[in-house]
This record gives sequence, C-alpha cells and structure tokens, in this order.
Amino acid sequence: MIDRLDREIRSMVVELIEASPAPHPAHKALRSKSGPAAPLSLRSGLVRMLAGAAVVLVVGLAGVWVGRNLVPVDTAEIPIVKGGETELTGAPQDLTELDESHPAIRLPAQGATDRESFAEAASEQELQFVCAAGGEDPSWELCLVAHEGVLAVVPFESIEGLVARVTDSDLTQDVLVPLDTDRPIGIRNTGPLASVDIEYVDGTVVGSMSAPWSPSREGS
Amino acid sequence: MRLSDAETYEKYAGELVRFATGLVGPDDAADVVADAFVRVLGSASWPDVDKQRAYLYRTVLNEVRMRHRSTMRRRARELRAFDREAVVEIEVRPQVLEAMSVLSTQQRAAVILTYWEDLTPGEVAGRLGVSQGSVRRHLARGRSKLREVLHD
Repeated sequence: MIDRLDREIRSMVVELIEASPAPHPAHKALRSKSGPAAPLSLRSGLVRMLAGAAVVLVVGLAGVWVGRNLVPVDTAEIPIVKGGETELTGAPQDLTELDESHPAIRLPAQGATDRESFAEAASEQELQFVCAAGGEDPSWELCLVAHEGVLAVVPFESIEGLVARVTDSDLTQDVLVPLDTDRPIGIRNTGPLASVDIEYVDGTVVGSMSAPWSPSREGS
Repeated sequence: MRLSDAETYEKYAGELVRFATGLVGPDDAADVVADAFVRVLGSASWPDVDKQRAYLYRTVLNEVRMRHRSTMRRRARELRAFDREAVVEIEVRPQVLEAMSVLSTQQRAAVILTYWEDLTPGEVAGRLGVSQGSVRRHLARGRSKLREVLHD
C-alpha cells in the first residue's frame, strides 16, 4: 500500500516537474532590480524603522506646534449671556483686578453712558467684547473686556447700548447694540463666528451679527 | 572564487525552476525564480552567504509563500482552462495540479525534494533551513493528504 502510494506520488511529481519551463534568460531575469525589494539585514531594518519613527514623531510634533500657534479663524470671543448669568468666555473672573490707570477706565468711571463713548473706548482699547450681565437685579453690570483683562465694570442702567468688538484672525469690528435696560439681554453665539444673535432673555431678538459682523436689527 | 550574478543564475536557475514548478506549477515557476534571484542578489547579506544553494531554495520557498494567494487564484484558472482545452501545452494532468493543491507550501516542498531529488529528510531539512523533525512532519502530512486525494 505504501509502495503504491509512493509510486503514485513519485509519478505525479515527475509529471509535474517534467513540465517545468526553461528559466528566463539571465540577462532578462536579472535585468531589472525593480522586482520585489531585497530583504533587509537586521541592522538596516532597524535603522529604517527608527528613521521612519523619527519622521513620524517630528511630523506629529510639528503638527501639534502649528495647531497650537495658529490663530483660530472661526472662534468668536463673544460671551454667552443667558437668564442673567454671565459666562465670560476667556475673560478674567476677578473684577477687582482693574487697571484704574488705564485710559479706558476713565470713561465708565465717570459715568459716560453714550454710545459714542463706548464705541470710542472699544476702539481705543481693542476690546474683544463687551458683555452684559445681571438680570432683574439692579446690580447689572457691563464688563469691558480687553486682551489684558477686564478694563471696567459699568452699572448696567447707566448705559444705553452694548458695544461689542468681534475679533477674528483678520477682521475686527465694533458693533453697537441699542439696549433696553428694563429687559435682560443676552448675547448668544450661535455658531463658530458665523452668526451671533443678541436677544433678550425672553427670546425677543434684538439683532444679529454675522460675517462681516455688521449688526442688523430684528424685532423690537 | 565567487561567481558573478549571471553565473550564479545560470548555475542554479534550472533546478530552482523545477523546484518552483513543484510548488506553484509550470506557469509561474520561471517568474518565481527570477524574482527570487532579484531579491537575493539585491540582499546585503548575499555576499556573506556560504551555502548559496540552500539559501536560494529557501528564497524560492519564501517567494512562493508570498505569492500563495495569487497562485491559488491562478491555479484555479488553470484548472478551469483544463476543463475546456486539450492538455497539450503544459502537459500536466489537472488531477496532478489538483492533488498538489491540497498540500501546504511546506508540504509540497518536502514532497518535491523527497520524490524528485530523492533527498533524505535530513538533506531536505538542510536545503530548506528547517529541522529534520519538521520535514518528517510535513512529509507525513503531505503523504496522508495525497493518499486521501488519490485513493478517493
């Protein structure tokens, strides 16, 4: 039985091998080195692997660095004010750290309430935004926030409008929003710098701002 | 004195093509060997290789392993072609290709070297760079599978 199987296998193998083609001519077979890549030695493989890892690391770190240093284009630094509570996005919370020597302080400190004054203050001091805070409480305040921090806190009832400066990477614009001090007001950022709604807490829209950040009034 | 690349190829290509034919069939054997040579001669370690013949056999075996999937597909096409056409050009019965196709690459290598070159398991082991026990196992399993196929 085993002999028979061996004979059959041998016969099969012989039949197969005898059908072997001739090798390619040497000049043709060896002409191109563009065939499969040659196997690497252990050392070469390690060197290549480390080099690859180093490249990945460098590219990754570069990506992180660029990501951290790029000016966010679509980030509106507008606070979100709802229901009398203020979320001062990016603004300092300690209002006692006012720089009273700052020229801008003079304006609210002297009770300036007209819109031109606020606009001027915003213009001069590069305010990023002006936010409203408060609610039914008469202690409502208006915060003027600049890059350096809070510049001034103004009694809310002493003003007649909000001046908002919206800054992104290449555009800065002051926006004056008339204010009804009897009604709480909120500034709602409805998207990444695409549009900002300014509305009373009861939902009535005061106005909206959208790129390129010119105010348009809606409702009453 | 060391042979040039072309001389090395001329010296070993014939027997390697026969070996490769046993592994992948006649259609791809010459290509497998040519690719294996290109791979070997481009290797940084090739100039230091002592047992060039065994090294080349192992390279052909590895080349076949890498081509296994496409080879299987190609073999299936061959078998389909045999159903339709006369077995004139390749001169291998489809039953033979079919029987060999049930073996793994290692089993095929052990069978080919044993039955074609009449090598002992120890010699096959030296040629393929594996242990003698491994060769015996591959051979036993290969024979067992072939018995099932041939005697069914």
